[in-house]
Amino acid sequence: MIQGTFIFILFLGPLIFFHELGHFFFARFFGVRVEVFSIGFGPKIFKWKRKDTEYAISIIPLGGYVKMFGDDPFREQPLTEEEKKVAFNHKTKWARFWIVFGGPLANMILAFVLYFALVVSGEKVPETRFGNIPQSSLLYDMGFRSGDALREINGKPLVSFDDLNLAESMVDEIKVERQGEMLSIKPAYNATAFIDLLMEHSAATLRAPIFVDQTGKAFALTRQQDVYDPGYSLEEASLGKVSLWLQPVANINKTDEVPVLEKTSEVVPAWSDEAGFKSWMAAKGLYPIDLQVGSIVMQSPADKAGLRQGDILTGLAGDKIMGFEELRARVQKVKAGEEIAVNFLREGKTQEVKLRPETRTVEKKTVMTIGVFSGQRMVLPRMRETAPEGLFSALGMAWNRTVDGVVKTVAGYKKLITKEVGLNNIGGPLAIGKVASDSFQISLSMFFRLMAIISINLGVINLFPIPVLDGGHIMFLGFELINRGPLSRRKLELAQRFGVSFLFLLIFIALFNDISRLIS
Amino acid sequence: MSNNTLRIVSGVILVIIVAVCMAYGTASSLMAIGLMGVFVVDELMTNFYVLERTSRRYIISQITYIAGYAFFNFYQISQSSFSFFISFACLWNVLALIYLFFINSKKGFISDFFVKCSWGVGFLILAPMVCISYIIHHPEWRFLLGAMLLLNFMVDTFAYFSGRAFGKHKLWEAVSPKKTVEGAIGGVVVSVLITGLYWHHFVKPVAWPLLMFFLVLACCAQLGDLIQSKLKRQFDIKDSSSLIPGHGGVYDRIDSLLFVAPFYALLISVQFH
Repeated sequence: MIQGTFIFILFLGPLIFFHELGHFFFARFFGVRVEVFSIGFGPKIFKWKRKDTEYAISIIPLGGYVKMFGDDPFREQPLTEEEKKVAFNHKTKWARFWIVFGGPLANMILAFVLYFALVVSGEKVPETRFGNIPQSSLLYDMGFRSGDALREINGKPLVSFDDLNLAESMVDEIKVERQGEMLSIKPAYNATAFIDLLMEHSAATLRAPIFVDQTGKAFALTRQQDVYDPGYSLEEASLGKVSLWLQPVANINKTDEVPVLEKTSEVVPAWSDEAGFKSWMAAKGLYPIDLQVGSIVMQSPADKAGLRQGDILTGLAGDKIMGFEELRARVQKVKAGEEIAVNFLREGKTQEVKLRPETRTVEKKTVMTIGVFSGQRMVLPRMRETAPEGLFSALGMAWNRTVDGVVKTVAGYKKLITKEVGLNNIGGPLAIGKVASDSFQISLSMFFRLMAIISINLGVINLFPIPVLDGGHIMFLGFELINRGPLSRRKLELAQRFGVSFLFLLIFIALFNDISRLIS
Repeated sequence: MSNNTLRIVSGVILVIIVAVCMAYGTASSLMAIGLMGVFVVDELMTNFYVLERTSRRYIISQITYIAGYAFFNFYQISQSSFSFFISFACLWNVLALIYLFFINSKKGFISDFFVKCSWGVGFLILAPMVCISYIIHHPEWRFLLGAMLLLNFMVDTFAYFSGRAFGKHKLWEAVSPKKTVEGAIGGVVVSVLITGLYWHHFVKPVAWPLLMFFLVLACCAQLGDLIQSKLKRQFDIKDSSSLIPGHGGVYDRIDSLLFVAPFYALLISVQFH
């Protein structure tokens, strides 16, 4: 929690600082007197004064402000001639435009600089690899196997997902790494369709190579004795051809920790194919841990039928099942209202219950559920480092990424306005803090990538034509241009009130979503 | 003890300390290099800027340096963060060269700038120190680090001796009155030869391009010396401290190393990665 808060401040601090610095720089450039430069809102914790400006760090770290002399349109007493020279309101429209636009501009520049630094020094990113590839799939026929890591595409090195943006329309040759060996595969397949296939079989479908026996004792398969590799998957293990170790796991009840292995181990003879793997599992009496029930939804069909946490699901409608994903797929085929038999192991005894899957709407799709959460463990992405780019190509790449970020952000908000995505997708400070701290745990490159994209977001949001925001100011400048003079006080007041209530509504929704995510 | 003997004795002790750290392993070498940086930041803050050790700027600088060094060497070790610091330090070196050749030291704005940015000293020293530590993370680090240290100390030593033996023409009197052209040439030539022999014997057979690179590095070592002399002249200081008897401070000893390390690390990251 403390670490998370610290990372959050480390993340948001620079974004706010550069945004306000953009305003500050242009204000000083055009000779406006800046009264306060603050990071954070509310009461000031630290403050120091130099010349006319008071610099401060304030208590609420969710924004900042630059208070300029004469920026209050409702000020009563008139300014003296001397004061007019340094007042914001008495500057030309052009100067005021740049002062207001400076903040969002600084955010874009920050994003560009971050991208540049990342590209020029190389990035540490999760490697691109396939997830589970079943025997009946197209990718399997092409020659790919579960867990293959992509290394080269059409002769070019492939590290991050971005490298998949090909100039060619066909994927002619791919080099993959499988169990330490490089293999060349020639799919000769349409590029965009290939990317779709890759997304469909993403690494998220991989399962940890952990098993439970009928007493609930957990075991892990390892490639190296006494070393648990969080990037190794059950799917890779099932390919066989290499000998492995089977070791008991000590701390299996804590789902979010890397399993700690006990020091006893036995050598597992290599099997030649998946069938061999299955018969080994059957002979050992082991079940993949994702078949163990992690938790049960209250009042769900599973709860009513009496399933409990820790039960091992073994069969559905009389057939053996080998994984939770298989179970989920089978349940989808059950018609609403129909009954289905579920076999499970509890305390070493096989039992059977009948239950009726119920329909539920998840993100506008109707799915059948029985109300069981799997006890699966994550396969963590393996990290790889991209090669550093040259100076000039890095400039180009950073520019492209920045433009791409702006386009995607605008498209995202467009979807929100046209209700293509729901309001529950808005995240607030807690959501940002969560992703910031997650990305920090993955790698510093991912942290800075996220910082760049949030910086772009901040810039774009601030350009929305909502009064109080920078975009609102720019909108008023536009009105002044049409009006050929300043707007009336009443109109300004009305617009401000509208802007403030709109913002409060947005903040309320964001915080509401954050808190409801925290609770669920 | 005369100043010369003192110099030699403490020089030998220094070499022994370095050798022991390197013999012990990567962790101790990383710690030793890190500690050196702490001394450098300390000397810069207390002598160049004349700040108290309890002042805010001193504390910010030390924290930036120590936290950064520890983070990138012990917590998150990755090629990409090292490349970042190598590129950053090389860029900074280019700026330092511009300072050396094109900025008039009588004009105040550079020193003003340095004084204003004193809280950033920690980050400034962090970059070359991380470059040195980058070499230590290389599997062949002992030979590679050895070559760099050898090159540096040979340049210093033989510049000193050949300057005393043949020195007639002043190199750049306005910046450093004692340095001579003969000394500089002698230092560069002898150090390149010695480092070349060392490399040939311990790392791999030497090719011409590599010798040229050593030549460039040896010249860089001299330039690093000159930059530091100019800085000291501008701040009106003789030695950065008196920690090492006969040599001055840690910064005096490793100034050229700080300038050479980024270029050397760049070579390693391109050629030996």
